[in-house]
Amino acid sequence: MRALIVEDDPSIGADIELGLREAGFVVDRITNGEDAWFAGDTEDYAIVVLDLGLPRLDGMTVLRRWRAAGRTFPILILSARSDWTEKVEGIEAGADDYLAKPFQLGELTTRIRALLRRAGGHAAPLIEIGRLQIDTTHRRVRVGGADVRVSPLEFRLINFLAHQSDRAVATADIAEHLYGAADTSDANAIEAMVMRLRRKIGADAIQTRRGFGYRLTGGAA
Amino acid sequence: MRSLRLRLIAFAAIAIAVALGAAWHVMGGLFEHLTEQRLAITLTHEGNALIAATRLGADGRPQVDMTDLDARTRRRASGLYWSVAAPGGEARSPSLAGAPLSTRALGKASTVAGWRKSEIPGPYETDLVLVERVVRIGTARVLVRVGEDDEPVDRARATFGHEMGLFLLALGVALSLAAWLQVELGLRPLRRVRRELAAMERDPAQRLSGGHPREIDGLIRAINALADARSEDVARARRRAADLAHALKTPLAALAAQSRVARSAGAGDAADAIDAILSAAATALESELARARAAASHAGVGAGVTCPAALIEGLFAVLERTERGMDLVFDLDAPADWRIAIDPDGFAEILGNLLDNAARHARRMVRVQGRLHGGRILFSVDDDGPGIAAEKRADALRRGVRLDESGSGHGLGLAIVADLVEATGGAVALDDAPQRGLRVVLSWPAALLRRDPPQSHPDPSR
Repeated sequence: MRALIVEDDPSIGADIELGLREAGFVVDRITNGEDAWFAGDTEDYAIVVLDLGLPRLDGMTVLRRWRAAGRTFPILILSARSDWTEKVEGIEAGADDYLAKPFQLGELTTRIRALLRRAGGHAAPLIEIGRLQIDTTHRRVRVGGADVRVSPLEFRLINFLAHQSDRAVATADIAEHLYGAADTSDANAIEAMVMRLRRKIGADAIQTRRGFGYRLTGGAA
Repeated sequence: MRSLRLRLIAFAAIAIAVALGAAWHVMGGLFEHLTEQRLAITLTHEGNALIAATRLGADGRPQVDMTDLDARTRRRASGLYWSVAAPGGEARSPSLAGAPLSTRALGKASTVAGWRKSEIPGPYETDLVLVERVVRIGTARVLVRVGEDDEPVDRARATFGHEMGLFLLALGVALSLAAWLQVELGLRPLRRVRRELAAMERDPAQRLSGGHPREIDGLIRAINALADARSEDVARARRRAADLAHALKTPLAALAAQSRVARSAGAGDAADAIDAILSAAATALESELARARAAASHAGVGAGVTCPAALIEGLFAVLERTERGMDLVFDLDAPADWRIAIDPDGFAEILGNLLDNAARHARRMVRVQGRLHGGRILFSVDDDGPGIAAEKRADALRRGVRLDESGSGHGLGLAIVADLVEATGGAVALDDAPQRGLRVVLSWPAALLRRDPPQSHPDPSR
């Protein structure tokens, strides 16, 4: 798997490169924003580690340009700044995770593995139910063609319901699937998550069948 | 006296009292003078009649025919007296009953219609106003004197003084009221400035309004310029803090890399020690940066209005991507059209750190609720984790105490969050969450809530 590291500090860059090589990646390392933008625009990477403070073109601009050009590889941002406003900005610009400097290499590789797990491929990449389109490759959800931001957990819930071929699923089964173990208090969390999801993908997209559980209908097409 | 209003009113009252007192005194004197003058003129008429009625007898004694003279001069001690003194003898009015008119003058003499006017002690213990002149009757020089009690003058003056005093007192009250009104009106623009300054203290982005009187316009502009300069200073300080963070953190990250090199070269103990120091340094740096940001947000840098619902959804999106947050449900229940007069960066720091803490301890869910209660804006952040025992909560909010030592160094302690909240004029309290776990309640005065019509902002679900 190819990884791109964009970091202008040579010792940090070399450190990340070494860590990712040990983890089995083929690594490209770039030290300025313009080259990074070009590389990301033309090559396919499994993961990109992007520093925000870069010479020539700043990291946030590089990130926005990649996303605007339809590049979908997972991106982990590194930044010396750690304020929440910038984290939110980074995620809204299309980053998948954010790590503030200084960091432990172990934490970086853990996060990268988590990103790769999330981006992992599926046999049936696109599921359509009602107005919903579920892109299991890129873990994205569309309603009537428009992207809707869902959290990883919400995606897992939608994906699970989508694979239940039109039957209602009991809360306990959902908890079992999401958390590996059912617990009576999980029902609250699942109910709250369903309410949130309904606000995002439409109130009628998930039906409650009293006594049976939840059913994904995708809403009227 | 610290009050400008009291000072102005007191000064005006004293000035009015002094002026009216002096007026009362001078007018009284003038009245007395004029009354005496009038009396003296009447006396000269009587004197002229007396001269006309006087003949010198053969023995050289004056003989007065009293037929045309004032009847009072014939009544003993009537208050009106005369005497005519010639070289051959003296004639006196019957009212004198034989007593002479004193020759001792009291005070200065003056001249009225050719007569010498003065005041002398009278025969019956009252003073007299006296006019006198020397006339030639035949060949003899005769001194003619006419005097009258000045008691009616004194009485008139007392009456005048009393009435004038009452009038001046009323005038004084009216003038004092006018002075008070003037001061109130004059100070009204300053009161407006004071109100606006108080608003500025609450919201440093505000400025004093225009349209003030010309006299204080310069002051207003100077205050606004000062506030602008201060905001600019704080903005600069904040940029410097961010630069400092960058400058320090990149070497810290490089040092972490060196620690890894040391570890791979077999110096595991040294690497552990370096990592521990790095972690401590990073935590200290984060804390100070967060405080600097909070102080800056309090001073109004980028101060503005936060839309809490959109901001919290943004924070959820960040946390949902972290290893811990990935498996959690983040739930928000707050009015989407709320706008709060708190710097968005400061608000993001507070909620971001609280949510980060909550995510680290939650089992399944983190819930944020916003509502109005008892004149305060309340935001509660609930997790369903182990919670904090009631007796340890006070410690959790105290600086320097960290209940959770297992953190990566990113999350700031509750104590720092408490500092940040206080810097924005809010308060923090800890409680039990409904689903066990910890509830952190943030509160701000409801006055910070803006009920503007909802503006277009990015839909948080997109």
